[in-house]
Amino acid sequence: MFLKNLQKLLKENIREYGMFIALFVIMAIFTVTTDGIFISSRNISNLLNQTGYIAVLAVGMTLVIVIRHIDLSVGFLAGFLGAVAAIAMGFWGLPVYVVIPMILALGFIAGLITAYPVAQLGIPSFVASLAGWLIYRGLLLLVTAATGTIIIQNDVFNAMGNGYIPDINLGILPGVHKVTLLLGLAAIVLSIISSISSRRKQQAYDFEVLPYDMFILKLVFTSALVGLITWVLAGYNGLSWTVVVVLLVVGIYHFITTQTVLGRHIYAIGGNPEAAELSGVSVKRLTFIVFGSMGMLSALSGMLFASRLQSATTQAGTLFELDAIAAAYIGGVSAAGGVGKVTGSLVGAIVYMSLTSGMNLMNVDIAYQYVVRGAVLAAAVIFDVATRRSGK
Amino acid sequence: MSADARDLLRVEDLSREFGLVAALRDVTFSLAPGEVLGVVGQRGAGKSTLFKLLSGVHLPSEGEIAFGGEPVTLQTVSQAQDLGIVAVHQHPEIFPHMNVMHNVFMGQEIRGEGLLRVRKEGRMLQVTRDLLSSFDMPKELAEEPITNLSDEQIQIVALARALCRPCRLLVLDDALEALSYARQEILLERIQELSDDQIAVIMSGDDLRQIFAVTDRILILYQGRQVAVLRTEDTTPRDIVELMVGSNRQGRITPVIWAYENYHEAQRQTDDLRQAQRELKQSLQEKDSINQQLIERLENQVEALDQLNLALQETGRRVLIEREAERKALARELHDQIIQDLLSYNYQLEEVESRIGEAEQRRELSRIRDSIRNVVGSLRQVCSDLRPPTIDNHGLSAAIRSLVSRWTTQTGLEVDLTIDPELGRLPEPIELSVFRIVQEGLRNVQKHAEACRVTLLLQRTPKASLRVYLADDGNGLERPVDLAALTENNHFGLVGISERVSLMEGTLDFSVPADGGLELEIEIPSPYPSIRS
Repeated sequence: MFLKNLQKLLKENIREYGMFIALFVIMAIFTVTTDGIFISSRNISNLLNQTGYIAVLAVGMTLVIVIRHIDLSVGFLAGFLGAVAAIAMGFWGLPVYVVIPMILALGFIAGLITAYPVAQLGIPSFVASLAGWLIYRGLLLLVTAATGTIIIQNDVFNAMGNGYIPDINLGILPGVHKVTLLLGLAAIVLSIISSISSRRKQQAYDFEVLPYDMFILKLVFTSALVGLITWVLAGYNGLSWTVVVVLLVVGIYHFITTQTVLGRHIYAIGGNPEAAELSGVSVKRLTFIVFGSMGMLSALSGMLFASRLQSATTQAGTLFELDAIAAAYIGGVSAAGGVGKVTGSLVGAIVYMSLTSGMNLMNVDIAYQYVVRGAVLAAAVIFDVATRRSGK
Repeated sequence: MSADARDLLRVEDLSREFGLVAALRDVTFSLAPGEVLGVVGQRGAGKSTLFKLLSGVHLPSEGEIAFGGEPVTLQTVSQAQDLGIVAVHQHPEIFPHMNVMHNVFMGQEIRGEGLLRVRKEGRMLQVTRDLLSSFDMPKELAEEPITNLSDEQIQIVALARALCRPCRLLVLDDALEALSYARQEILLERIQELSDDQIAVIMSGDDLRQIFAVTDRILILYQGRQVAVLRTEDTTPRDIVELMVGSNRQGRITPVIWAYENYHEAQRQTDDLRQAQRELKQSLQEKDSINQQLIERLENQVEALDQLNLALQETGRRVLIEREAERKALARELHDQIIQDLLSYNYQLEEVESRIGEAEQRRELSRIRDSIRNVVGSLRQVCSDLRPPTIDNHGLSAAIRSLVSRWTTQTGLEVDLTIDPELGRLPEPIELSVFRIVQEGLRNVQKHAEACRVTLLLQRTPKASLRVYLADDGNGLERPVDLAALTENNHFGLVGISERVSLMEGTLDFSVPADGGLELEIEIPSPYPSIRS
């Protein structure tokens, strides 16, 4: 009975779990080939920090792809806005607490500008955002032309990309980050409580729910996963601010896409735009919102990147958009629209960055790295399409 | 049309062009709350265009729509829906990645209170289930992916989507066509209820019977133009069809009407027939299953009966065997104990007699001894009846011979006895049974037949079984022979014979020849398989 349930669960959710399995396999392979360096606390912590700015973009890109669009402009928009942030702090002397919201707002506006030709004029998003890609690249070169690389000296800003959350001294477990552990524990407890309560609620309304043993298995599994990651991170410097930011973004977007009407409408548009229009869902309005959010996340990504390098460079943001798109596709977003999860894209981004990080540790030539990354992307999309067909 | 202030909807000179094609020209009508308007016309007459203008899918090229007394410009579907105009379009659009519930509530989710206004999935699920069951659909479909549904079920979902919205005007574009007859009836009833609740309905359809069933007025379109708006009560399907096909072409009207009326009549009858067929099939299946059960029960009973019979036969065989064993034991007891004792008493008496001098007493003793000898004689007879002593030692033939010779002595009747020399020895139970049968048969002859001649024949047949033939020339039996009647008259002889024969799995034949007497013919299969071959 247990095995049967497990088999059924795996079969029905093969696309969702396939990604986790892939991540696990990739991590296992690199752990073996690098003699355990890959799985070390320090490397994992670094890996997550590197994933940060791609993950943030991938989250926004998920929604864009779900509504059957694409946004190529996000990479250089991120680079450009990172540079603007550096200039605002360095030359205009604006305080960091003003700069961050201002850049986010600018990103949102930039997204709306990209959305305008798409939503109002019906121009394909590929073309509209390609135009944006060129424009923001030009603007980035323009603002950095005079000075070249702009060094950022604001400690608060730089902490976003390099800092870690503070620890408290409890007098136990020296060398382990206690606050990180406590947060991880709190996350596990909260997720168990919320899972149980939502299961009760669903049962009260006679929804189909997982069999009890599978439910427990899933809880145990996710708790173990969170526990493991927390433990690994706590072994180095604990949670970095980048990870906190990414978790916040993923959390908010996950909530929006799964729990709110807005999220439901986004998926509806992706599934069938005409039907959505006929159902009174405003496709235009949502296109603006999705592109706006994409622009805002580009701004965030740009700031994370600038903060990590502690400077704005002329090359910042190059190819970010393609990395983000690849991460989203690896994370199970369907190119046909209407399907894709924010959490999936996060995992996709981690998979994608794990490949880079692991192969760097192995000293693999960059040329082969691209080939491997391309192969993984192709495999992910083929897997996605194949499992969807068999699901019908 | 009267421009009544209480009108819910007023449409004036509504036109729509697609490029150079005028899909709809100068349509003018008004609609009161609760009124049902039918829109009819051939394909391409502009029905769907009218509905799309009313529901905000397209903007009119010219003309005016007033809703609730106010002129409105319906830019989007959601604007129309906010006003309370809800439409079900001809080809329902679905959200392929979602389940039925999310399809139904798309664009009008039930939201919670509070800042975040999250969706209330539970409430939505309940409403969806209720709507599905109101259309006679299984509740479980609510969580089914929409792509698993049939066309009819998708049409129901589209209707449910419209019916769960707050609504003042419901626009149904050919919503009935995809539905089965029974569900069409449900929808027509539903339209009537909506009308009673002061909700106006505009519906199109090809089936004039349905249009006439629920509408108050009918709007006829012909090639994008409004031909007429007629009160349903004042018109007939024939008039409507004339207008639908363009009244200037009189010659072609009659066949068209004929076709329309017949088509719908035929469709209705087909549905009725299908329903009847389904019911018939069901009742036939039920009957079939009852018959099946009866047959099964009967088979079971027959089987049980067979087993009982077998058990009974077995019991009979055991009883016979036990009886024979008991008789044997009794005979031995009599022979070895009592007869020997009596003989020894007799011997003692003889000694006493030789010692006694008085003649009177000696005579007396001698008389007693004679009596004892007689007793011993009759006891021996009893013994041999109980257990033919010869059968154990010398076999069936010897036993029969001795029986017959004794019987001849007793009765004085001549027996023509023939025993096959090849008879050999048979298993003890069979030899005993045959012996008993012959014994019983001879007793019968003695008792009832008043015969002069008896023929007894025992032989092996070519089929390697034992044949016993016993015939007499006596009174015979009444024809036809009825064993049950014989039993009632306490003639157990023949019945006992037949029982013994059947226990040996043999056959018994009576025949009553015309010149009197009775012939018994018994055949007993050999217990030795090797002989059979």
